[in-house]
Amino acid sequence: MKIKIFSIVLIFIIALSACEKLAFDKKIDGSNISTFNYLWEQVGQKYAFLEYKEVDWDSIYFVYRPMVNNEISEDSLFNVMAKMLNELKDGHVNLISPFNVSRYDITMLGPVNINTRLIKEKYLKDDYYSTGSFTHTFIRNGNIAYIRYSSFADSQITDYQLDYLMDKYENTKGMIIDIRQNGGGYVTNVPMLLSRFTHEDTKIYETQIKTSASEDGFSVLEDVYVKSKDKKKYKQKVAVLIDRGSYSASSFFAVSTYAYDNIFLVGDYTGGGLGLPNGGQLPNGWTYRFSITRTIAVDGKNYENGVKPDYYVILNPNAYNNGIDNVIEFAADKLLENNTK
Amino acid sequence: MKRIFLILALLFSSLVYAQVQENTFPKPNGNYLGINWGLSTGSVRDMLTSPLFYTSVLIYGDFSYFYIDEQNIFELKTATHNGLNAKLISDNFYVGFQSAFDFKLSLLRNVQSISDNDLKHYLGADIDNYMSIRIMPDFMNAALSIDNVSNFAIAYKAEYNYHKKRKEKNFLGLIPYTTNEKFYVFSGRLSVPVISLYARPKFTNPESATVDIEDPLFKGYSLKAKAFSGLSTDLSVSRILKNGNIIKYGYAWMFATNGKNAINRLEFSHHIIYIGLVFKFN
Repeated sequence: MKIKIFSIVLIFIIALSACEKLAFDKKIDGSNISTFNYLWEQVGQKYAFLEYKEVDWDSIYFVYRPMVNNEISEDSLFNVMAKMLNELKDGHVNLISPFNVSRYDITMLGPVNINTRLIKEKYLKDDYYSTGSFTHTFIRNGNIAYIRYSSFADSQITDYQLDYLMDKYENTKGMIIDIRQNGGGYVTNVPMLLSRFTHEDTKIYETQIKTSASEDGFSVLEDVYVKSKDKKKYKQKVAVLIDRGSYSASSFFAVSTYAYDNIFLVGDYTGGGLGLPNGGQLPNGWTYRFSITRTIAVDGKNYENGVKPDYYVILNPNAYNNGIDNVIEFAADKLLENNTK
Repeated sequence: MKRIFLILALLFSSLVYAQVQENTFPKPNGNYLGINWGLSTGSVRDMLTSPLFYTSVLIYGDFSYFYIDEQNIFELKTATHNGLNAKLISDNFYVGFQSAFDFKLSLLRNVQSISDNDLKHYLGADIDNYMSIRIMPDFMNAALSIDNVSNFAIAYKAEYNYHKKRKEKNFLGLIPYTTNEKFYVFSGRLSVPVISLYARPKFTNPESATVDIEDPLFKGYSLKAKAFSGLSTDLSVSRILKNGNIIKYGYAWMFATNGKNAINRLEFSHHIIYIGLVFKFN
């Protein structure tokens, strides 16, 4: 009898573990239509800039949905969904399949504003230094520090690297940090670099994330600060060169400079990308990402469409032939002008 | 012929006199430290990052202290699952990494009115905290998810004591041998979370590999209470050794979901096969 009772208990417990699938919600089918609808829904609910960019996402559904049925090829499905995503005009929006990655090229929003060959030949020349991701040298007879920072993604900036730069250029009259065509990377590098240009904790922007599907469904604004470290600082003014290719972390860096009196922006608007992208997956296994946060600058504005420079300067189309990068020259003139005694 | 009979009689009698006195196996009682290890598989679906069910294959290990007396079983256990979550879809393989940590406090009380020496029923409660960290490198910006579930559960356990007595047998009726005395405890345990607290991203998951983890971490998180949102079971066979130590084999299953209609629904399960050693130290 005892064995019977115990057996019944065991059978009941074993039966429960066989009912796992009943406890979970049903699977979502991976058909073309289901995948398309899922992506459209996710963007509609979670993308942070639909209202800002004045995108009528409901109408877009009716434009692209008729192009999808369960018989079209993977390639065709990809192309339709990629075109739909490109309506957002956002470099942080990608659809990733095993055979292709969709992208919106923000560098095409403005003119070419840098000639890297010119930089190498006439500014960096042969005796430049390479410290981490920074390529740098003196220009204007040793009066100006020129630092080319072409990617926030290469590696994490270290205190050692920044100490070296601050020591080397301590006696210059100004510093140029060139982040033109810098497509972004580690946002953690932004406060790291900025910490050397201030002696106090500085609020650089506010951020909020999408918390519901409604248009105004965002969290409360959270302040983001640069903490001033007890490290060597640069005491003179800094010019940051930007263009449409300055995206994501570069835009974060550029918009953060609005909080500093000693830093100004020269060049073209940045490409934007001031939202943190969120990775996800579709029912057919493809993955996607798009921005689910938004950034508000210290002046209370949203610069997702591009951070505005303090001085709008476009590269002369004949810059290479002339041997002069007029964007660099403008910035150097401004730095020296501010240091005239 | 007489010599043969004498030898056989002496042999038989020596076997009879060699019969070991039946030892009384110590019943589980006192303080124990246990360690289990095994393999855990299951499913996980986090709707904030993917609508697909991933299969998890994890290495399982736990370390526990428990105290047993006639009335009570008290247990303190920490467990960990570490390994991969994988999905094969349309000939493409997606893999992520998972680490989970489980901490449990449990008190069971013998229901004496329906228990006896052989079959015991226990009722009691568990308090446990389960934290899971998942990384999906295939998602751009390497989606990182951290979830925490705290439970208060009602638990039931049935234990059947099986004493396999020492027996003397004859192989083919000629060669005598004895089977050793063994003591087993078969147990089945069921735990139902009455109330669970889920801490996880409410709507979007901003965790990313390229930002300072101190900034977005836990922003957008919500804390939601759910009733009867899961279940866990444990079936085991324990062999009690003469010195009081225990060898244990078991199968455990648990699942949890924060709700079929939750916009940020999380569903996961673990099936664990384990082997363990339990040491009596007091």
